[in-house]
Amino acid sequence: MNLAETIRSEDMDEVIDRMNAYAISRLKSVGEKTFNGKSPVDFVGDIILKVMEGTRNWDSSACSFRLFLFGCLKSDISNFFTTMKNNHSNDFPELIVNETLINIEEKRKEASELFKKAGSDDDELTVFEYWMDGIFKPADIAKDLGIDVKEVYVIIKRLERKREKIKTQAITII
Amino acid sequence: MNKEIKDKIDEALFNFYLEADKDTIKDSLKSDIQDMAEYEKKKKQIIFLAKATAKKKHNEYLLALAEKFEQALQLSIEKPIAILKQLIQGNTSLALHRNLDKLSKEEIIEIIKDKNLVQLLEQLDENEKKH
Repeated sequence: MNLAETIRSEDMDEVIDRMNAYAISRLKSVGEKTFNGKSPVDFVGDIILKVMEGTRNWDSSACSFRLFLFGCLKSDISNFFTTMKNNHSNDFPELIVNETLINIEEKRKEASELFKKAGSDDDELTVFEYWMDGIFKPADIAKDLGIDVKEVYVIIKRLERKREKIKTQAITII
Repeated sequence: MNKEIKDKIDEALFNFYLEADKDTIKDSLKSDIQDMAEYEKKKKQIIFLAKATAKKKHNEYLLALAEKFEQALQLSIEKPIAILKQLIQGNTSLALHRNLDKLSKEEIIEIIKDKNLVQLLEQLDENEKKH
């Protein structure tokens, strides 16, 4: 299927909602609301247009159209953050923790402890452990835990809010 | 600090927003967007513009390719003709065409319109570079 047909067959309304929600989440993680004054939906719109114009070439990509758009968004957000890095910390509060720690297990425990202090319950900490083990897909986590995937979605949203809280604490401390 | 941990959290949230059900996404947006009417309006504009751009780009590719094939047929260039023959094989109504050089631009467009145009254009460009 070519690009023109694909965009006609995709539920673009839903795709934009998803991309926009992801863009907002990434902005929140650094305490921002816009991309240098550009709203998340405008940022998303620019990326979609780049793909339509062929600046970002989906035709030569092996993945689905949806995944490709998400990949472009992730990449453009990372580039944006890199350019603003001097003005903002894109990091976690462990900045205040011993930087010389080499052991990832120690860092993982510290991160888990920070979530706990921020009020994360056992469910949230369990999902966090799955992430640290490299299991990222909500459906995989749900299957492994033997629960409905929607329950995992709810837990992730709670976890995401805790991350923002941790970030705020970090800024305050620093 | 912990780039590895941060990257893992980012990867997990990337998967979450890619896979979560529509209702979860809508709920998430409702709590973050103050002016939903304005957001919906912008979304419609993006979709309209994206579809129009994709269509325009597709037509441009189609025309460029048809012209390249037409030229190749006139000059009897081997590789593009072979590609065209291969494409025709999948089209029973056009497979009867014995004389490829008699194909009109419109007929060429008919043959290639459903194919991966970018890939075809790359194939032709590659062939041109070799000669």
